[in-house]
Amino acid sequence: MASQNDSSLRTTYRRIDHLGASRSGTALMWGQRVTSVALMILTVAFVFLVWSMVGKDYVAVRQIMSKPLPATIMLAYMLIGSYHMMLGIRVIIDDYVPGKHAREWAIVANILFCGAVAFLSTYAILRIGFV
Amino acid sequence: MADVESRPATRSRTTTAERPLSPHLEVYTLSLTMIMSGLHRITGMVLCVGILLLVWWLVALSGDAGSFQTAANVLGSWFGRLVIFGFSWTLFHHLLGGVRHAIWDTGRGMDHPEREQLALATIIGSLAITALVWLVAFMIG
Repeated sequence: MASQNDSSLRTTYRRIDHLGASRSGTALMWGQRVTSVALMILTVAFVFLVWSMVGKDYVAVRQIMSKPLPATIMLAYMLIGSYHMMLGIRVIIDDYVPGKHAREWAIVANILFCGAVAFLSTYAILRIGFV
Repeated sequence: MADVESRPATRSRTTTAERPLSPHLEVYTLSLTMIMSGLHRITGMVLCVGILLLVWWLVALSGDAGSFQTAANVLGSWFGRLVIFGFSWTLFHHLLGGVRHAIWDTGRGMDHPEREQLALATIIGSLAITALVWLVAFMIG
């Protein structure tokens, strides 16, 4: 490695921060892993929540979903889920969308789509709980 | 740069040299673990569509009894149930795929035959969990 760095144009700081040419680290990859663990636990809770609402009418379902625990489970599920979704689609865009501009627009579309899912479900869950 | 000079003189400067490409997907025989790798991505993308049904259901529930009933009628129809059944299997397949990746992240399960066993466990496990969840759901509702 030492001989390689002799001809490098990188500054000493750039060499030791281990972030390479992309200038960002493993934050997205690590975020994917952490959110996946949270989503595994939340999926189990989500299944129980769905079981508790199967075949029930509007008033009964609304009553269940306005309780603190079900509402929190759903809020966490949708928010962590949409972030996990954004990271996952990003990997697929990076792998398959050719061209710098097309890729950047795809990334913007991805953020807007996942943001819409997050904000819309947050609004709905809070409205169920408070209205 | 010496290679450029030693090329045949007949080659135009503007044509792309036919350099050897590194082996790509088509040189490999399709294996179960390759299919599972693709399925993990595909199920992830399918779930991005599936979550929209969940968002729709939540928004409908946040409205009045009429809007909820519309969503409940569509999702509760035989076609709606079939679609949700598909999404539920997709979810459990992607979830177990995530467990598989978590095992790999610890450095385990990457050798033969462990990786094939993990792939089979993901398929059988996801089908079993889907069947169990729907069996319980039908017993309740």
